[in-house]
Amino acid sequence: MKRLIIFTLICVTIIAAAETNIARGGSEVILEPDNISIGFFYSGRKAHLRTETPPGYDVVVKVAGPDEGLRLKKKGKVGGFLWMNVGEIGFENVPNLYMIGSSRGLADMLVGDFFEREQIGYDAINFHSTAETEEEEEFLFGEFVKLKEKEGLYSIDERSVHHRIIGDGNQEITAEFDLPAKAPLGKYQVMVYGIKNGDGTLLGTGEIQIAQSSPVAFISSLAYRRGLLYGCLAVVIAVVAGLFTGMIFGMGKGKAH
Amino acid sequence: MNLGIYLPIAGNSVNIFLLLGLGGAVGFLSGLFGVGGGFILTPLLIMIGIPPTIAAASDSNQIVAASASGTFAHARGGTVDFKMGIFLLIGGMVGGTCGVKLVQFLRAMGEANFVITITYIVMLAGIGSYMFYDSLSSMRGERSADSKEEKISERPSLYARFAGALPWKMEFERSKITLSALMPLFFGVLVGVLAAIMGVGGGFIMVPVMVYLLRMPMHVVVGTSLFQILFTCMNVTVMQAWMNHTVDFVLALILLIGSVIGAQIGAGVSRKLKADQLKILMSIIVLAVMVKMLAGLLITPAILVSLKGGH
Repeated sequence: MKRLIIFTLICVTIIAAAETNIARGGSEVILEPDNISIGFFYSGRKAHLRTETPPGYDVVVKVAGPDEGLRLKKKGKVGGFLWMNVGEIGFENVPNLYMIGSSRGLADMLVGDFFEREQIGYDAINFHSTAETEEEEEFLFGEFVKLKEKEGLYSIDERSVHHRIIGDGNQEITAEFDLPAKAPLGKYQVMVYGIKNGDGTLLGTGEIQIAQSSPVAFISSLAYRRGLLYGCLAVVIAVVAGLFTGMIFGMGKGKAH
Repeated sequence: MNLGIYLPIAGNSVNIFLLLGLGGAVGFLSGLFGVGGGFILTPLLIMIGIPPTIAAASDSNQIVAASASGTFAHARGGTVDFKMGIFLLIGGMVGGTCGVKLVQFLRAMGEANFVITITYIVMLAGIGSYMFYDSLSSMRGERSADSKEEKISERPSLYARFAGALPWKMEFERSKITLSALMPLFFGVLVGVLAAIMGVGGGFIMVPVMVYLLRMPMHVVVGTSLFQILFTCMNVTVMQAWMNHTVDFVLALILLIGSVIGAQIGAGVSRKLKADQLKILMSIIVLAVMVKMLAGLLITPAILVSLKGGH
């Protein structure tokens, strides 16, 4: 009985370990790095993805952060010729980071409503807004996407996923994603989809985590948890730095009036 | 080689030499003209990807260092009128508080942005053009002729007569002027209100006020303005860090390394230039900022939305 319990526990442990490495859809998704630590000289990272799929699939990779809500200022003409902020719009359920890579054009893959269900492509993002009309919503969401693309947080690259046939007949999938320095801290879901004969399926998933290293986290924590102390320290250091430089420069000039 | 530095509160990475260069250039202007430089640096920081609220607050922090450095340099040269500075500072604090309330009122009325922006452009255009014309005339020697005429007529202007009639006269030894203490207090309040409405430190309004309305000598104006800006920005930095958590100290530290050096060089150059040369340079910068703002209003933006939280 004792041996049976030990054997069962070992089996459960092995299965649980396998669950963490082998993705939901079955293929193991290897992400390098899958844990990014932000230090003072961090300026974004390139993340590499590698996985294997059965042959004949077109592949779409989606990297998405958690959904967020945000408010934007709308620009419009005032008095017929001055561009100014003329109001606000709120968006809910928009991912804070959204990157799509594919082995060929998304429009060329005929997959029914699969892309819509899996929110693949900007048109498929299932957001809500405070826009008054559908036309306004569509237009302002387009502008929002432009803003996110400019920040490097949204992208669609239809040639960034590469595949090649390997020894066992399967295909090796590789892709790269530029995670910008501006990517918010947190966990990002990586989904690998296979498209074949007009049908889509989830082949595997992975996760990338971005966190601050200890010194950077210390400064953030001080700023957010002890704002008054942080502000006073910032002022004292600035005054000392200013006076110190003033003294250094003043030394070479002899005594003042 | 990775030259990017990560800014923990801004949550972004920026080239370290770009920040040092920006800080140096703005520090130079600060030491030269006695302005904080926020009206130039904040838009530049936004342009390189710093969120607007963090750009404005961190800028205040670096101005503390630049103005401390500049004030020290000017104080050694005997060109800070501390007495006048304290009166302007008291007025500025009162005016700033009233200005914040006024902004709330304007926002509640609607159309506040339009009113504020147009006021800003008209003021910059007026101040810049007048300074430019005045210093150009003076450099051409026209002014000396005017002064002679004024002496001949011996009839002071309405403004001079009004200023002369005010009570609580006081001597400001460093500026070599005698005027009512109400005047620096009043103009301090006025600049404080305008600075709060425009969301800037107010140095570029204070300098012309000191020159043209308080009739202070230009070289004392620069040092005194820096002294006043130092205390205003200390207050803003602490309040922003405490209330809004928008001060990125790493960003401010890099900017201030550049700016304290720039401020010293600027203060040195300031002492070598003539008053009219300083005024004409200042007027060109004010007019350039005005043109940039006007262009921003007239040219169709590439993206018709922006994140909320900026100016």
